[in-house]
Amino acid sequence: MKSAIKKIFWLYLIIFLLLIGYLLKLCLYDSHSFVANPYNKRLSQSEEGIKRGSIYDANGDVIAEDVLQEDGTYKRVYTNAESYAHTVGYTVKGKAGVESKYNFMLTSVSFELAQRIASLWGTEIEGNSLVLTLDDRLQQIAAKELAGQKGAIVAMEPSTGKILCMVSTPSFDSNSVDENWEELNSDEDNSPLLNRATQGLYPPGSTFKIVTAASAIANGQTDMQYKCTGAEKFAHSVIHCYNEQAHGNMDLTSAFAESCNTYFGTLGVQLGAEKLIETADSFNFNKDINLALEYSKSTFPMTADADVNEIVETAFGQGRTLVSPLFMAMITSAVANNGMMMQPYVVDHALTPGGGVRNRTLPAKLSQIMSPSTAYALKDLMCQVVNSGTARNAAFSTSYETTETLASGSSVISTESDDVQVAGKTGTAENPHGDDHAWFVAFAPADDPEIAVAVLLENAGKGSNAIPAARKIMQEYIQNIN
Amino acid sequence: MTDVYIIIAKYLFMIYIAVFVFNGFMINLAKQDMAKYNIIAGLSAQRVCIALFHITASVILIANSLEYDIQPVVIYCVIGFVITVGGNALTRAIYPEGSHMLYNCVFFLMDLGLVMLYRLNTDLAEKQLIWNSIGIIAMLVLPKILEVTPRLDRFKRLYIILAFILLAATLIFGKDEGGATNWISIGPIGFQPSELIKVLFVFYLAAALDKKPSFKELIVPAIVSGAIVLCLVAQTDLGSALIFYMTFLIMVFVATCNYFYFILGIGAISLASVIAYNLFSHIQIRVEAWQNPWLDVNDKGYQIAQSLFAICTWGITGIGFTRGYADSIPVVERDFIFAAICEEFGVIFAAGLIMVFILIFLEGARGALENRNSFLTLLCTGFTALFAFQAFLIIGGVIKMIPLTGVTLPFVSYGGTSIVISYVIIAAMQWIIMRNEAYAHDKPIEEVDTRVRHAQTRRALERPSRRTAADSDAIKERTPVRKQPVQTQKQSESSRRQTSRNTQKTAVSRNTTQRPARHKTAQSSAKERGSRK
Repeated sequence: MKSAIKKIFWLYLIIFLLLIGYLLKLCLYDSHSFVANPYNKRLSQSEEGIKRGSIYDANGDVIAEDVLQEDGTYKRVYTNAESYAHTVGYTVKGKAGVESKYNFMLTSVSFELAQRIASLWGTEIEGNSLVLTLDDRLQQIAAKELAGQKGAIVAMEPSTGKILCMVSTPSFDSNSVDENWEELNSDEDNSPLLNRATQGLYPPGSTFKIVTAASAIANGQTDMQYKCTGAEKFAHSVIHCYNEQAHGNMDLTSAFAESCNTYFGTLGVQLGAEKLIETADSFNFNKDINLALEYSKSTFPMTADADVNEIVETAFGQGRTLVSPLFMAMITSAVANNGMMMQPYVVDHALTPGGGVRNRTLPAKLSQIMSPSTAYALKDLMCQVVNSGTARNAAFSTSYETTETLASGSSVISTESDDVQVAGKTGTAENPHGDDHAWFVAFAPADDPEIAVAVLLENAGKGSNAIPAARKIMQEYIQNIN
Repeated sequence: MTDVYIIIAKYLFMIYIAVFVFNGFMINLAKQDMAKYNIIAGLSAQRVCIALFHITASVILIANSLEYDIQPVVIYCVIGFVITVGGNALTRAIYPEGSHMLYNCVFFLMDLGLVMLYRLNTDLAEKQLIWNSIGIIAMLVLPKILEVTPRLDRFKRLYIILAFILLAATLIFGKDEGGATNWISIGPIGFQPSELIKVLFVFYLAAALDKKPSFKELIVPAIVSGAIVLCLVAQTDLGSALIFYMTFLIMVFVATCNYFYFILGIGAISLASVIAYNLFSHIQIRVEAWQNPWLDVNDKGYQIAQSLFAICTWGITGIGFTRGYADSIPVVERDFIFAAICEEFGVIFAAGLIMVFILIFLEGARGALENRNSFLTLLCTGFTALFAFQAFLIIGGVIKMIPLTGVTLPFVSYGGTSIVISYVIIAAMQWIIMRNEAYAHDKPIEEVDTRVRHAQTRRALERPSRRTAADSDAIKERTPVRKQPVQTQKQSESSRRQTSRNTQKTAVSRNTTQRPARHKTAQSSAKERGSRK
């Protein structure tokens, strides 16, 4: 009896120590996965008298900050508000963007005891600040390129998933959301509050040929030859190439470079629905991408029992497939990054009021969406698009100044330039509501990618119209930033 | 200013509970002669922690209501202080020989419950003050009553008949509250029969399993317990059903020392759980909410998700007393009070709280171990098991370690019946600790003068302390005598089933052999007792 009592006591001790262990593990390790849940009311905390943390771009320039007003309250002030409006968001009307998703970080007071004691002598109590991955120079170029039209530009660093630039138009002024709320919210023609870069879903057009080509390469069907006459009849409908142009004899490389719809339609039928679905699945269509901003999932609804016409349309990017510009940038980055798709992120790290770095985002892999050899082959195809295909005006060179010291002692400044190999793909997305959408996705330099860009211009016609914006951003980044 | 104080207080609370728990464990080690520690000073330190805890928390409560009506909160805090500190002082005055660490643990938990409830819901807190007072009075009076009650081990039929009457009453007149039909209203007072049944159930089992039962003798208690558990399941009071079942298993295990029954019992409950899971949708919902509350955060997983948010959002030090978002936690005054404590006092403090419960089980186990009457041993074991599983089920449920079953956290959660019954159980445990052998089995021993026998057992049980040189001398002298009690214990257990005449001889001879050594041991045990207070 006595030994049984001792054993029972040990049982209690063990299960209660397990409780303590579980509690600590829950709080220290597991909590990250659920504390940010939108149902957690604590995240939307706002305490009066606390200076909300500032938001900075990658160079440390202020994007948003709280300014103390005469009546003792704080007002949120945004710089270059229009270009950051969708990413950074706003703090009124339920909040949006980084302001919403990182509210807890921005309002949490680090070293609370010290700050609160100091505040007894009149200092401000400050939340943590955030440093974004966005670069103001790229943001301003993108905003300028998009001015006056609807569209979105996303640029990423392929090896990390860092979002370097993300602009959506039409935009709004985050400084006056409260005043203009009715107007902003009811403008259904322009939907200015919609972040087209992450929430806008568009038919991918010919940019989807990247996926079809990946499927063909992965399945060893790269040697198909085909004579394009500008149109082809599949089952009960006829498919045309852009402007019904007859491309002539085509192989995979030239069909990709010239963006030949009939070739890819035939290739799609040859691959079959199942292989295309398999590739789309591994490309993370229909899946969450865990972006810490509002976004829509890119969808690939084709099923294994799809008819020939759906397969054909899907294979060259029409069909029912819908993608966001961010997702196209992620696919492009993955091609540049040897097939590894990285988790996209916009917040690099948080800063405590004392300047200490908190919660630095570490690049995270989303998944290997294709084999490195497939990615390499795709890269070649995409280079040909720029070198000899539909995106020839995407090529650019970087120039830099060198200072040479002559024997006489004087120095001569000369400008040299390097051609940069760009890899890209254009897309012209037919759209039942109006003119075609123009797509261009690209990365550069092809052999050591530093930046990948996706540009979408709503109703801007053919894909090549989207090329200049992408080129300017890549050029600026490679020449002046990285 | 208040904020600064609340944040400082957050760390103070952690220090209080750390000192409290540290002293608790050191006192335990000292009692087992495994460490040198001044037990009196340790107990005093614990009492100081309780008082400081109350004062620190009261200042926050008062500071928060400075802009409103300050009078009620001041009155509440003063009364709370009087009950906590005064109640504890009374236990010392009335029962100097009781386990004061156990009393300290109870008053600490009670005080935590009092300040937490006032912050959550002032109306309930005021009621809780009354319930606590009733409970403390019961805890102070009951040992005296039990002391003069004869032969508690004789009334097993009475216990079980009363239990079934209460169960039947619940099934017939029961009211539905919080998903379980376990309430009866008598006039304006709500009453939870399952709480009272707990006590009766443990008394019944202790009486029924008293004399190392054979397999046949286990059948009736098993059927009776099964019936009670099934009735509770029928009332959808799954938490209580589990507590009863586990208490039954533990008591059977302690009574028989047979692993087979324990493993069989665990197997049976596992099988029953699987069957119940497949039969009842409300159990499926609970299990699903436990496995993945994030799937349906707004409905099925709502309670557990809100609880986890509260526990984890502010990290391990919490946000500070009264600064949390308790409104978002469901049933926060009862089942989920632990989540609110984690949120405001921090997870480190909550871990300390769990250790306070461990201290209670330690005292319960010691009470059972030091007892040589198997009825009382079983009683103490059963009561400890009730507390242990009740605390485990609710804390484990709230932190999502196990599926949630709605029971209260002893002494902390709001609850009328459950609070009073918790004090009753503590009173019974204290009584057992205080009177180790009031009801012996062996009739012949009863013929021996009870006072002599009582002193003997004391002596036999209290091991020598190594604190002073005088004590160690006493040990040396006592060495041959010390073996005696061990031997007699073995004898008495083995001879239990022998004829009474044999036993009588043993008992008488035991008395005579021990007599010469009694004087010295009595001295040393008096010292021991003195130092325990």
